[in-house]
Amino acid sequence: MSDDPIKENSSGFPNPALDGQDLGLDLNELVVKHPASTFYMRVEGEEYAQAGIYSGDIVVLDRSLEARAGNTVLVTTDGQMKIVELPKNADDFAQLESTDIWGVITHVVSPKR
Amino acid sequence: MYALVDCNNFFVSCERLFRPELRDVPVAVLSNNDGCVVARSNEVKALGVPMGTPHFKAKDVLERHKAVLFSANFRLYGDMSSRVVQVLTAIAPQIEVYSVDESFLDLSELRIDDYEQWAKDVAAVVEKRTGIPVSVGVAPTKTLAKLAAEQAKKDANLKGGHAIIPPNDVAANSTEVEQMWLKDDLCSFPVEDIWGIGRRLAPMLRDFGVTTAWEFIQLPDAWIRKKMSIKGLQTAQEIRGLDCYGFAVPRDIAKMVSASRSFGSSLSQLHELEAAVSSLAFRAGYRLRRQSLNARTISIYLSGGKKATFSSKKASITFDYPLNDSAAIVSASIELLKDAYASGRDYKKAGVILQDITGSSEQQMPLLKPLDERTLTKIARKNTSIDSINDRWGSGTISYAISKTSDKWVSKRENVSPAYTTRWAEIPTIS
Repeated sequence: MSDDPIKENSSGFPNPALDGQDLGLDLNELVVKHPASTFYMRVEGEEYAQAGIYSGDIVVLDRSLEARAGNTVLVTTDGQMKIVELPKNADDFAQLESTDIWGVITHVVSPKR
Repeated sequence: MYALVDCNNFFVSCERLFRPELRDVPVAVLSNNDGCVVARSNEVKALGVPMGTPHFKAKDVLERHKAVLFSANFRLYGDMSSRVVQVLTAIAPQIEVYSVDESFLDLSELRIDDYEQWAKDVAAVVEKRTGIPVSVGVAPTKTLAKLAAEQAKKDANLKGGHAIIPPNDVAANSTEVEQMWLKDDLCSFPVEDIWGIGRRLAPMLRDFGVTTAWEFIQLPDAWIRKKMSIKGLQTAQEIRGLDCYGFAVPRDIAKMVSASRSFGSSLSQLHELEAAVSSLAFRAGYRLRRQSLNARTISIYLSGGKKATFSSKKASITFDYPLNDSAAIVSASIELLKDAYASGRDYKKAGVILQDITGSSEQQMPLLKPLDERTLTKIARKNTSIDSINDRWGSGTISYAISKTSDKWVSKRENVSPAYTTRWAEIPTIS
C-alpha cells in the first residue's frame, strides 16, 4: 500500500472514489462560450420587463455572434445603449436597416434573493 | 511573413467602447498623476496636441473644444488588451505581444492566398469580437509590417488592413530596380514614422534631404552604418525586405519585477515614504507570486524627479534564499528606506525592484535549507490567501498597516472610468 499512487487521506486508506472524479459544475462553462468577446452589463429600470429582463438583472453579451431573427441584442442608437428584441419573422429581420449592434444577449442572470 | 496588429488609439478606444456617445467627440487619456496626455482620439490629434504633452500645456485647447478627459484606467486597458491577444492567438498561434496595444504574428505556418484581404479580415474580426478597432500590416519583415499597419491606420480606404508583398521573383534586399515593388508604399511614407528611426534620428536624415522611406533605402549601406550605427542599417535592410529580426522566442522568466510610482504630491516625511514604499513592495511581491517566481535581491530607489536638487538614491539587499513572501519583501523595503532616505528632500517618485529571479519550482539552494517545509508551506498559504482576497475584492482590500499611514503619495486620478470588465460592482448599466 505504501507505493500506491492513489493519494492517501490521513487515515492511510486510499479512497477509490477519487478516481475519475469530476471537478464540480462551473457556471462559466455553461454561459461563457467565447471569453474574449463576453461582456456583462447590469439592467436598471423596468423598460425591458416585456422582454423578461428586469431591473437588477445582469445580461451576458457575446460580441462574436451574428445576430439572428428573434435574438435579443444590445444596440447603440444616438449614442445610447438599448436592449432590443429583433423581429422573429425572418423577412422583417432581413428588412431591418443595419443597426449598430453592440452584442447579442445570450443569457440573463436574474438574482432572486 | 509577419503581421503587425496595432490597436487604434487604444486607451481611447477602450473608453469609447462603453461610452458610445463619445465616438465622434474629442477624447484624451491622462496618465501618471493626470500629468501627461498618453492617448488621443483622432480629433485631439487634429487639434495638434502631441503625444506626451503635459496636461497644463494642452488644457486650454482641450477645454475650448470640449474634449472629454479620462485618467488612465489600467484595469480596463489590461483586460481589453488580453482579449485582443486571445482573439489573435486563435487566428495565428505564433504571437509575440510587443506592447499593450501591438502584437506581431508569425504567419509562416498559415496558408493565406491573399494577404491584403486577410489583413482586412483580421481587422474586422478583432473589432467585431472585442470592440477595439485595429490596423493590420502584413509584410516579409517586422519593420515593413509595422509600416503597412501605419498606412492602414491612416487611410480609411484600406479598411483596416494592408499588405506589402514582394513579387515571387524578387530577392530580399535587392537592388534599386528590383525594389520597385516597394515604391508606391514607401515614397510618401515619412521617415519619422519608421520603426527604429523616429523623432530622434529623423531630423538628421531630413538635413540630408531624406524625407521618405523610399529615399532612405536608396542611401548607401556604408553611409547608413556610419550615421545611424548597425541598428539603422538593419532598419534599412528590413524595409528592403530582408528579415533581420526574426520572430522572438517566447521570453523566459522575467529578469526583473518591479513596482514604481510617481507621487500625487511630493513627499518629504519618512512615514509618508514608508506608506508609499511598503505599498509598492507589496505590489511587486504580488507580481512575483502571480508569475510563480522568487527573487533574491530587492532594491528600492527614491527620486526627486527631473527638477531635483539631489540625485536619485538607491539601496539593495540580498536575501539568504529566493523568496516571494510579502512580509519579507515589505519589511526589507522599509529597512532599505532607512538607508535611502534623507530628511529635507522633496521626493517625487519611488520604486521597488526585485531581481535575481528564479522560478518557484526551482531548488536553488540544495545545501542550505532556509526554513523547514512546514513553515514554508504556512508562508505560502498566507500569501495565497492574501492574494486571492485582493483578487476578488480589489487590490488594497488587505494590505500591510504601514501602507496606510499616509495616502499623500496616491496619485490624483480624478476622471478614471469604472473597471467595466473586471469588477462586478463596476460593470456598465443599461437603463
